[in-house]
Amino acid sequence: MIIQAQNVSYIYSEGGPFEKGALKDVSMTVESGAFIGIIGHTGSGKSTLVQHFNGLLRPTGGKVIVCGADTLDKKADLKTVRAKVGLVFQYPEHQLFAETVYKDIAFAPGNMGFSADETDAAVRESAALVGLSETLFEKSPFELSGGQKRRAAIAGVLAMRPQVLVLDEPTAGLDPRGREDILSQIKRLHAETGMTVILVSHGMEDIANCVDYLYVMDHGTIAMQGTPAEVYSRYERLEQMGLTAPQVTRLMKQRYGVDVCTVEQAKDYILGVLRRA
Amino acid sequence: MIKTENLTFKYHSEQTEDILKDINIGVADGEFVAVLGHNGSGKSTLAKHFNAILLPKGGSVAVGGIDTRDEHRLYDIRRMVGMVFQNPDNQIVATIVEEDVAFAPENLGVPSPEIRRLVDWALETVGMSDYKRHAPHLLSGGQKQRIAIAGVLAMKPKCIVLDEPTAMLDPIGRREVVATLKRLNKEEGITIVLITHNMDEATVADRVIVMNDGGVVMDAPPRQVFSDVERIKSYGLDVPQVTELMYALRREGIDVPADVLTVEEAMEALSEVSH
Amino acid sequence: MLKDITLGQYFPGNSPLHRLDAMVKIVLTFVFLSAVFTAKTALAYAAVAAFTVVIIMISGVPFKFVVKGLKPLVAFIAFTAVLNLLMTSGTVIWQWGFLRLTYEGAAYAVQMLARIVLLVLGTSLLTYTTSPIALTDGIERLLKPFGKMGLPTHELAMMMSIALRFVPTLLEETDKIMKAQMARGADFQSGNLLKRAKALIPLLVPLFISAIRRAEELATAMDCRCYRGGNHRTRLSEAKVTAADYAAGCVFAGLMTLVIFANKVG
Repeated sequence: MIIQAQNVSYIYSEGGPFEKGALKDVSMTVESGAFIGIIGHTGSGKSTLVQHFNGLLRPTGGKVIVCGADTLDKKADLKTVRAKVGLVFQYPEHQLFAETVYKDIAFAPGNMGFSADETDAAVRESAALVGLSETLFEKSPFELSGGQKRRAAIAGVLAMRPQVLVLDEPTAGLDPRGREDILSQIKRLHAETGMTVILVSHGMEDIANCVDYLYVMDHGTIAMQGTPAEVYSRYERLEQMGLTAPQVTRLMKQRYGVDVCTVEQAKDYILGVLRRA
Repeated sequence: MIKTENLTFKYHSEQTEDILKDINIGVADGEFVAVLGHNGSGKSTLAKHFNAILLPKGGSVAVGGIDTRDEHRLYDIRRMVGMVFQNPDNQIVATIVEEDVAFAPENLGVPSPEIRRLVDWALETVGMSDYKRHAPHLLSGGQKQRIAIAGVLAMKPKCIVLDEPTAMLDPIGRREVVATLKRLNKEEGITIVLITHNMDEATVADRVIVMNDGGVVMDAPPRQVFSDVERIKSYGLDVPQVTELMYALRREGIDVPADVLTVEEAMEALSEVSH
Repeated sequence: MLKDITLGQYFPGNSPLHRLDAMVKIVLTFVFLSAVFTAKTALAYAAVAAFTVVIIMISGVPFKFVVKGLKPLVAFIAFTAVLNLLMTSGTVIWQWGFLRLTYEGAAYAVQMLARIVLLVLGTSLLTYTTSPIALTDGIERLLKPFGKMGLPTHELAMMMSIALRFVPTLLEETDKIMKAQMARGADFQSGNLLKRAKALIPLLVPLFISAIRRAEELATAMDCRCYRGGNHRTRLSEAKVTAADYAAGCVFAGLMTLVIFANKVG
């Protein structure tokens, strides 16, 4: 396993007047090469949890072990942990700052002590992984289109050559085509590099097509887990937690009593039923 | 309510291509219209013409019979057509909810006791009365957006135009905002123009206008618009999942209706096919 | 760290002091300040101190909270006191090298100490009992006469209240960008001054760009809500100077008279 959270609790501004529990006794194991999803509504603790995976936050109870290093350990090198677990925040294009796209993507490898040659290779490789053309390298990141900006920002994290890529709402604010482009790019990246990918989302239908395993967070705890079909089939529970299940999941459960979460699966099942009859 | 005639627009005269190309649409009093289009299709630019934030470069826009280029009637237009934007944080002016809702009537010089009544009514209508003394930055995204809606409601507008009001919200927030809009339309008779790229929201409208590449390419009730799955997808948009499922089944030669929008309708369609 | 500074914070409540008109409160604060500076004798200081204690009690703001406001100023107060104590000429009580402790110095140090403490307590009570929005409103009304001389009073007040509105939003944003850059290996904490200043670029550039974008969007949203400057503008709660405000005025005038009287007697 590559990330292990053991009974993690996290309390914001502990002891202060605004003390607020954000995570309660969360345990989770992420295997190397897995593609998992974490869903939950705003404030469910999902963003707080993933910030523990690269040591940005450290648990106030329990522990998090990333690639063998305990993030609470005083001797643990947090910079190395951050290089191993690349975290892409929501609206990552808001962190672009350098004069050129190239320099922006090169920021992280530079900080991580890559040599000039290594950095150059990492920049080109990560741009290719997100489908960003090298002809854009000398442009200012602020001249790019919305979709390109987001790709450049994701490349800026990939350039550290992390073993795990965590993406917090990577499709927020994009239109349907932009969403599909980013998600298929992430799927391709997972398939080609075998990188461990963790996708954090409000639980809209698009995540169902990608991930192998799904965790549902609610009030700082893990409320459900399983394959997407298993999780989405309990849509009444999801709706109580302020999440939505794909339309086809509801349809197929009500009509045929089967767990399905994509249009493709639904079509195949219905055709099967009709042909048998 | 709103009528455009051969509307064209570009930001700079050097731009070779128009952002809006020859747009002729009308929005009737009391209608709920969704404007659907991918990012960069010109839908936000069009919306900004509805309350004279932008003025046409060619053709004309009339709001309640007033030409938007009539400078003397600018505040009549803005008062008649309220506008809500994507990011609620960037449209809330004050540090206390009720002070923010009062902002527009204060600008219009409404007497204090009347402002009080308008503010209380607007907050009641969006279901946020309990929060009137709260600080807006501590509210959820959906609540903030309802405050923004109350902020324009306090002008007693005839029409509210919303530019992707749910793009930054989670499912709960979306539901809150869409339910509020439906209520404003049905109970208060306010005309709603909802700019979005979310097909689920567009299905609640009376009419869907689809924009692509600066022009209007479809203008029909949602059922009709979404049943043309291939065409919608060619514009970089999506259809509800059940509509797509019906489309996929029809391509396999199964006789199901094409214009299905909800799970309930799909249940019915499938039960008829198996018999 | 930052949240320990209570000076300038608002302490919500509904005491008579909270209910006073903001403009009146600003004027009264100036009366109070003049009283502090007028006081010369021990008796006069005692009168002001007693008065301060009474209004703090009336305000309902806990003493602990008010005293905490002095904390960031302790070093400054101590420094002034020591300076006055040792550098004033007069009747020498004790001397070591060029340092000498004089009777006048001791008296002056005590006087300055009392002055600073009273100043801070009195003015912080203004912000404790007045919400930021009421405060800017009060300043706007107070400056109105200068508007006729071309001072953009409404615009100044509007700018102040919008700045206050965006403080929490921009703090949150700073935190987010900082974390995002730290996730890319940025280090804001180590190195010499120059290195640290350079490390701030990846934080400041995005923050600046976002602030400009927010400003543009806010301006459009304000246009849509018929904002057209201060002319013809009305307010949700028209501030009215009430009997309570006049009464408070009398009380503060009484304080001033008392101090002048005490100066003569003491």
